[in-house]
Amino acid sequence: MEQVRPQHLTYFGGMDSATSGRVVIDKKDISKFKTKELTKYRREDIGFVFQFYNLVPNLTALENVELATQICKKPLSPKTILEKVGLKDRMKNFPSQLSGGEQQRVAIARAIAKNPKLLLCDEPTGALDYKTGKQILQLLQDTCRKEKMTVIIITHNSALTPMADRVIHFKNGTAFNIQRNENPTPIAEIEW
Amino acid sequence: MKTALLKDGVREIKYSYKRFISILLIVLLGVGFFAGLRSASPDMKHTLDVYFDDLNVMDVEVLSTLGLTDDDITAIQNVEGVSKVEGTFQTDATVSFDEEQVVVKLENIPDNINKLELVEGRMPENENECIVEPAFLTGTGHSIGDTISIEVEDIKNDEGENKKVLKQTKVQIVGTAKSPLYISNERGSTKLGSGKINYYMYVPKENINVNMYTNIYITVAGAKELNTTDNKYKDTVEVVTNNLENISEERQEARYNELYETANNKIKDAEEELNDQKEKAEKELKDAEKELEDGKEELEKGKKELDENRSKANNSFAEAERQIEEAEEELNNQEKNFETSKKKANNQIGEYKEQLSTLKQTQTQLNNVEQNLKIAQNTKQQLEKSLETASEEEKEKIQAQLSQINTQIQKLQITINVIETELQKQGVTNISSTIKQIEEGISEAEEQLSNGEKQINEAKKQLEDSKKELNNKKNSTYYELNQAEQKIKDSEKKIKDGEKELDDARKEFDEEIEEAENKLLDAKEELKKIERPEWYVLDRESNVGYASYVQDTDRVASLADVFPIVFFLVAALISLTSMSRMVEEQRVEIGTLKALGYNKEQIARKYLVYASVATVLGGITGLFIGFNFLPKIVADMYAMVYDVPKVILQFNFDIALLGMAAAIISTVGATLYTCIKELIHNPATLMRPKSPKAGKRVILEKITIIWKHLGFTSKVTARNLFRYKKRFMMTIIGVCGCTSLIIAGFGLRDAIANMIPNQFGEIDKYNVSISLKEEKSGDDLAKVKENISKNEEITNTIGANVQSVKIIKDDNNQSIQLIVPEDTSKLSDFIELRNRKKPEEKYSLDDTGVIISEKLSQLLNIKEGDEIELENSDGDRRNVKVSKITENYIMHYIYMSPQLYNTVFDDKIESNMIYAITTDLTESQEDNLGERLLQDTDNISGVSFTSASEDMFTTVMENMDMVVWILIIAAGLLALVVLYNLLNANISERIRELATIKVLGFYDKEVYSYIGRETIILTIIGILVGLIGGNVLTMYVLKTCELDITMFDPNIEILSYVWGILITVFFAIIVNIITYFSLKKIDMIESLKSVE
Repeated sequence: MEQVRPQHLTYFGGMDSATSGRVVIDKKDISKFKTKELTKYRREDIGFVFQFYNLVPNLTALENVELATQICKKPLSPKTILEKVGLKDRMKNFPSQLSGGEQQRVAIARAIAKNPKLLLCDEPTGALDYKTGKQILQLLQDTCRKEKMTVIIITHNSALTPMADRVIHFKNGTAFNIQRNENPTPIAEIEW
Repeated sequence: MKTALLKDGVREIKYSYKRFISILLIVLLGVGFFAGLRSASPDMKHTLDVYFDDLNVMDVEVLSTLGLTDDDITAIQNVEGVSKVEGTFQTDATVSFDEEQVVVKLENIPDNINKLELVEGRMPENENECIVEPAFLTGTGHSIGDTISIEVEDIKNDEGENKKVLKQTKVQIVGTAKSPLYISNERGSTKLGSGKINYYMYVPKENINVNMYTNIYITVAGAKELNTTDNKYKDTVEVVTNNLENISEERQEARYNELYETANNKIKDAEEELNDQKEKAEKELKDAEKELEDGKEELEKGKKELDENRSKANNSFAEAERQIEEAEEELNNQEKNFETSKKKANNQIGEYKEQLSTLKQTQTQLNNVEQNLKIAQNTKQQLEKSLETASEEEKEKIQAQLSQINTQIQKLQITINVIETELQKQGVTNISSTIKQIEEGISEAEEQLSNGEKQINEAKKQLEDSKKELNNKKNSTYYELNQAEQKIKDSEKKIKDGEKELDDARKEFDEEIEEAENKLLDAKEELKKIERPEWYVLDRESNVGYASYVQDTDRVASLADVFPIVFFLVAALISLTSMSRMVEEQRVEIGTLKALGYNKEQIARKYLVYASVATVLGGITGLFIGFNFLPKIVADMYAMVYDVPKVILQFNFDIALLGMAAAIISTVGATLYTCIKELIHNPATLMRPKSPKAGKRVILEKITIIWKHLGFTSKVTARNLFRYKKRFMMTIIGVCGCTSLIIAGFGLRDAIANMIPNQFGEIDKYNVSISLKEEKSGDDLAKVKENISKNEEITNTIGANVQSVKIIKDDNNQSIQLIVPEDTSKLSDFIELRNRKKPEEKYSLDDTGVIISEKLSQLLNIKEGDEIELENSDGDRRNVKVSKITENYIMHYIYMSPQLYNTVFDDKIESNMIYAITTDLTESQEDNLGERLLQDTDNISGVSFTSASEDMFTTVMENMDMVVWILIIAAGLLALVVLYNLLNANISERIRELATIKVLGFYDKEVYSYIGRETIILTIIGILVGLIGGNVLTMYVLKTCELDITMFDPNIEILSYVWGILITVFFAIIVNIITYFSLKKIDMIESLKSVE
């Protein structure tokens, strides 16, 4: 789990191309990608978790997950994922019927279900209360560990840094400090 | 308004310009179309009014069935409200050139009223010149400067004498001009040529040779200032019309009296003459009779005389015959006597003759003996002499001979003595005298005998003569008598002939007199019949061109009532969706403002102003465009049919106001509604983001089979469709409106297009209707038909009685034609009677009821089986049953079998019209045929081809194409605005969702279908509804445009629906292409933004 600044998120996420420099992900320079290649990259390699969940209000939890899985090559079973994120009983609910934490779980489920190489999370706890935030972070960490998935969390909350394996500090758009946590703190111990 | 708020408002517009433009555009469309279509009619009317004012077109026109006089003009001049009066003379004339012939309406150039508009050349200056309409030159190939010769039929003056109409019939064209009386291309019908007036032309007054008027043009004081189509104008003119009608009675009477006097005097003269002639002829007849009587008398006398003469002659001849007979008898007696005496005498003569012959024998004997004696004596002497000289030998011989002779002499002398003795014995002394005596006696007796015979013969001859004479006399007398008889016979015959002649003459005389008397009676009857001249006081409405122009513009106006409704409805819905979106989007701002202490009105004002500004801007632009372009387009369209100046565009304040009001009510009203709905919430609620509209399960999900098979985009689409009801409605109404408008356009075109082939091809199969001078039936009709059929173009004919009838029903003044064919079985070859909805179901006329045309049944609400009260042209009213209702598009007809007519009206019906079918003919061939048919002036009074009506409608058709274009453009704009608005709403409202799915890795196409599918489905639904809506709209438009005498074919062609669909789809595709690129442009960063 790593933490980066938002504009870099757009580069990593293939949402935008960098004007200069290189963005190499999985040995591929995505900054050279055409729109279509970028889309393909987003589609197959990236899972994205938004601060405001960005669920499709017109689809149920399960359908929101399926929305993502239907477009990639080897998706995970949406139901299994939703069960894993603890929403077994809420699968048929619409986002408006879910709490913020539940919605973010659905969003994470949606991102994970794509079986991406990279899970990008933009302030995943930003809109959540402390407790729910912790649960979400736990979920992310669990995913990272269990699914062997690279998870990048973008946050302003430096209190979260101890939980990351690697922390990249940004200031004014530039990474100025990269540190490795040999022993990341368990989430339960982190306070903010 | 607070400046901050104002600034906010302006920025708002800048920020949400798409929304602003949507409202602006739809308002522009609605107002533009409304104002444009609406103002076409007043603009065109205004143009016409200006044109009419310029040329000082009459307000009222007076026509009379028997012509008008200067007295009429004076009388009209004195009528209250009349401004100017002018009499004019109109007639139909033919102009021939190159074996062709055209019929023109000829009128004298008016001085003040209905002035001509000079187009080219100059106005005529003398009676040798004329001016024609521009089409005359293009149509006939003549040019200015050409001389044409005009043929006009002489007209009868009041005295009934023929009079030439024109002084100069060879006139030079000096220019072209238009007359405001003929703004349409309808020139009217005529009895001349092919029955159709081709052109109009004007000659100067000086060339008119008639001191009578056919028309009197009148202008009404104060009418010029008014708009000719306004009610005010109509009211003003109506006053004068009424005034004129009031004097018409008196003027008609005056004219009637004048004509009556003239005719009556003529009759009186004729009567007198007749009486004179009668008297004379009667006298002549009497004389002849008397002469004949005399002749007869004389004849009798002659006969009697003849008889007398004959009997007299007979008597006298009988007497003469008797006498002759007597004489004959006597003669016979005499003859008998004579015969007896003759016999006696003859006997005596015989005796005598016997004596005589004996005597003569004796005498001869004697003579012979004496002769012999002499000879013997001579011989003796000779011998004796010879003896002297003779030798002895010879002497002996002579001696011997002598002795012999001597013996002979002796013997002879004895014989003589014997004879003489014998004679003496018989008393004859002298034999010769006795012979003589006897001979004398014989001749005497013979003479006596012959005398007697002679006498008898004479008597016989006499008798014969008298017989002959008698016969001659008889012959001659009888000849004479016979002659006389013959003469009598001749004269008898003569008298008989004379009698017969007299009889004939009398008969003839009687006949002639009767005829003359009949003629006189007829003349008297005519006199009675001298129609009271009837005045027709006509206003401008009676001018075909004017009336149809006004009607046509009104029709455009009524279209303006329908179409913009769709636009305003859509405008309201667009405002409703955009404004409610806007209000919703700005909940927080509203809440903040509310929390800051702004009151509801102040907050609402922003949105109201926003909507108002869009509406007013759109409206004004719409007005500008609408007022400037649509009337022009509509007018240009009509310019093909109507010859009026270029349309004068004007700002029609009332229409502008109405349009703006409608727009403002739709948009600002919708905005107000949204504001009120939102503003009732308290600031706290408002400041919290509105909970997003909950996703809802839709009905479709319950049908799991379908739902399972739907992709997510489809599911989203389905749920979205049901989620945003306003948008749903707006789009569907918009698209439906688009499709409907297009279908209506094409449908209207179809209706008119079909009407013509339907009416003139399938229903009226005949090509010519030939009206007869007199009603005919049986052989007479057959003869006329045969004559007509001699033209090789004519393939089939049928006679029919066509008369104007009425159906007696409240408030019905439809003019209806009753058609009674001579033969119901053949009718279907000429006129097809059938069910419109099931064309294969044909009707035929029977004796149970009549068949009426469909529009008539609609107008009067008559159903099959109903009874109607029919009034025929004689004014008889009868009830008949309606058995069927038949397909028909133009005019009203009632069809009836002749048997039914006979039973119902108790009247034997005869044909006055012949319908004929021709081979395919060009226009000139038709004209030619028409001319030939009209040559049979004894029987045929008019010929009209159905192609003339066809042509008229074909022009209308061409105009319809323009209407269709306008509608397509309107419909397209509507579809574009609505779909664009939907797109705009969808994108801006769901930008986050869209950005998200983009981030999720949806390809552009997938993103597009995520949104586009909604548009497509809505479009499809809209089109489907539009197909129905189009049908309804078409029906409405058809009903609006339909005249009372026409019925449009309400069957919309499948192709029109196809066009409706295709064109709508075309616009939808345009919007979808825009959608695609708009979606492509969406920045994924949007997904990262916080929820407002």
